[in-house]
Amino acid sequence: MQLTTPEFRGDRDYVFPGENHFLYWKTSSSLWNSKLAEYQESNIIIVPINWAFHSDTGENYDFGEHRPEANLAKLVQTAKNNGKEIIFLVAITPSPFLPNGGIPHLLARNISISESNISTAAIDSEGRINKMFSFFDPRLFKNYVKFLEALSGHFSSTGVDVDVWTVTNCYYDQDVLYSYFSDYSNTFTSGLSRFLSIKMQEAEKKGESFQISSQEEEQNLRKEYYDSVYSLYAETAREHLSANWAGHFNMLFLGGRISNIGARAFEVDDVWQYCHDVFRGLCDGIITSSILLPLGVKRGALARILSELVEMTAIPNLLLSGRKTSEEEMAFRQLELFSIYEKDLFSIHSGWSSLHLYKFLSSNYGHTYRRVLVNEQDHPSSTQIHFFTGDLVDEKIFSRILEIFMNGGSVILDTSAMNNEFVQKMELFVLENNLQVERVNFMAIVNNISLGDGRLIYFSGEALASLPSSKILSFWEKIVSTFSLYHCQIVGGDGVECFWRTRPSLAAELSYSEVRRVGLYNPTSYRKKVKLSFMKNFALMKIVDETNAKVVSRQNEIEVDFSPNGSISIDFGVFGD
Amino acid sequence: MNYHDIVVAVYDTISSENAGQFNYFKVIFDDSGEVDLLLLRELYKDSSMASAENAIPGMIGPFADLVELNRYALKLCEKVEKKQICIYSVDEYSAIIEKASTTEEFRELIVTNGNKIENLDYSKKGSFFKKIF
Repeated sequence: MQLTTPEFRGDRDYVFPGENHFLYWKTSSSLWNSKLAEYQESNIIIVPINWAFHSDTGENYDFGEHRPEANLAKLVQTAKNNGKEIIFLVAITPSPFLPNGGIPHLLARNISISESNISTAAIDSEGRINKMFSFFDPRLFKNYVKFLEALSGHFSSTGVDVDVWTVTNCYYDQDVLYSYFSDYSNTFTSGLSRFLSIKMQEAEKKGESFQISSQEEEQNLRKEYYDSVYSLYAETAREHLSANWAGHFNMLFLGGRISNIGARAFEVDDVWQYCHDVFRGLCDGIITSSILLPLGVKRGALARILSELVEMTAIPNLLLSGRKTSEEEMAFRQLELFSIYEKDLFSIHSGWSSLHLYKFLSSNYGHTYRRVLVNEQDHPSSTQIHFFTGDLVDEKIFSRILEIFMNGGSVILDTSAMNNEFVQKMELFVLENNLQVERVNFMAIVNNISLGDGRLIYFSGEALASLPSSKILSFWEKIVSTFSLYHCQIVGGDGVECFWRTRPSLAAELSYSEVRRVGLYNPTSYRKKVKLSFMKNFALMKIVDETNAKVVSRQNEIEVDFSPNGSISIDFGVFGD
Repeated sequence: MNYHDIVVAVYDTISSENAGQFNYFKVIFDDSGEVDLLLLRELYKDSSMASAENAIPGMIGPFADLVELNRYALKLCEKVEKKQICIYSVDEYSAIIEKASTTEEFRELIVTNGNKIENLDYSKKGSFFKKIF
């Protein structure tokens, strides 16, 4: 893998709509060999499996018995013959880029309704409106199981041994992540009623009463039902595909926002929003797909963002982790200075959002944060500060917080909603270890404990919640500035997005502890000026991929003048202490 | 009339436990894309029906009834300088999404259906300019 960014590719075939995806059903199998041979952008080809292509009814399946285009084993072999590797994707939600969301047409009966009470649909790159149907339909689930059985049967009988990933398809709406699995239709409501009846019967058997006495309780039960059905799809897929299953990830569809369908139908694409969504997705550990966007929209800064950050960084880091070559280990990955722990990436109720933490970090630290599910296994990262909210704290999380702190890491903890048991445990921990607590009243009572390199800052977020956003942002600025973070200040260029990546230093670069690359992108139609100031720990190495950008370099400062759709990447060697 | 001449506004009727039913605009767009939320909020604030109570983030409202809703819709149409505003309930809008297979069909349906309010200022302005030029 190259360390410099390859040139931006020109036109794309609609069979290869982006992000190294190959849509096998869109071309004759007799052309697979030539198409795959011609595709030079990557040796890893991502293939979403189109359920509806292999069955009209959901009952009988074709994996090449009738149509050669349905033969996935042949596709895998053709790819191998061309030195390429297939990675299959199996959706556990509706897929917005497929007619009927990807389900066989005879099963497309109960349309899904979004949270905004509008029918769930998406516009694909060819101007088709793909409606999506409720996965809460029991008949659909039964047929989904048949699909998985047929698919795994095809793989095992033909010896297909490539990786299969399950995928949750999603979109952003006003920075909140939504899954296409979400459904507010009568199909969901009927299922929920059955679920509640079962709960009532179970309670009666135990001699307990079952009553929904508040809106909050009702919401919790709705979530419980939703989660149980979603888990059913996820676990069933994992079990049936166990021989090939490599993991699960969320896939973000640019242009897939349901409330935006009208504007897209009026041929308006908000490129700035798409760029913003890509960055947001990277911080959420989500892979972005631009499949829904017409080729003409994927130009300029957006195209470079997709190429550099999604195709060359996010996708290999996720799908190839654990089996990278030594060269690939040296490639850039997202710089994660901050890890922010959440219970659920799809929740609209994020304590950190209401405290404007994401806004602060995006504006001041260029998307160097990562939202992490609190139960996710540790992933390798460059995290320097870990953020936890009190409602997440149980025995396991409390132990993890202390472990990070005792091992020299930094933790910021919002103690609002923290169980009293753990408040007391914290006090006991401080006493037993004879730790000094520095206490400051700065918009809230902020407690700071240090132990060697480790730091633990805790405060009650409730005290901040009523303050104006400008004050809360000042709070974060002050708190984060007390940590010795090596980072560059970027000033100016409203609308210019920046994204930091990091890689280990090469043998010839051993004076550096790491190499960081900042990508600056101007997806707007206006000229923008940006100033980047860097500390003495940073040494400017090179400027890469200047496109519609003029650079003036001074001591510890770089000024970039962007034309519309301009972008640039700058490499820095970083010296440690 | 084609889709360049109109602005589309989609509303929903939402009940709250203590306050009753109100109407809110959820989606508003024209051929420049979604209408800026700040502009919509400012327009709402300036209108006589504005009420901070029962406001819902991300939506424009509340409007006590369809008369108030339509009054705001007309002001909006004048503000964005379109000939006509087509107002849809979420059910009516969903019906169009479900019926249309392509964006072309969607545009045809959206222009020909819905509750339409003409922007008379636009027509007058149009004819005035035509006379001058």
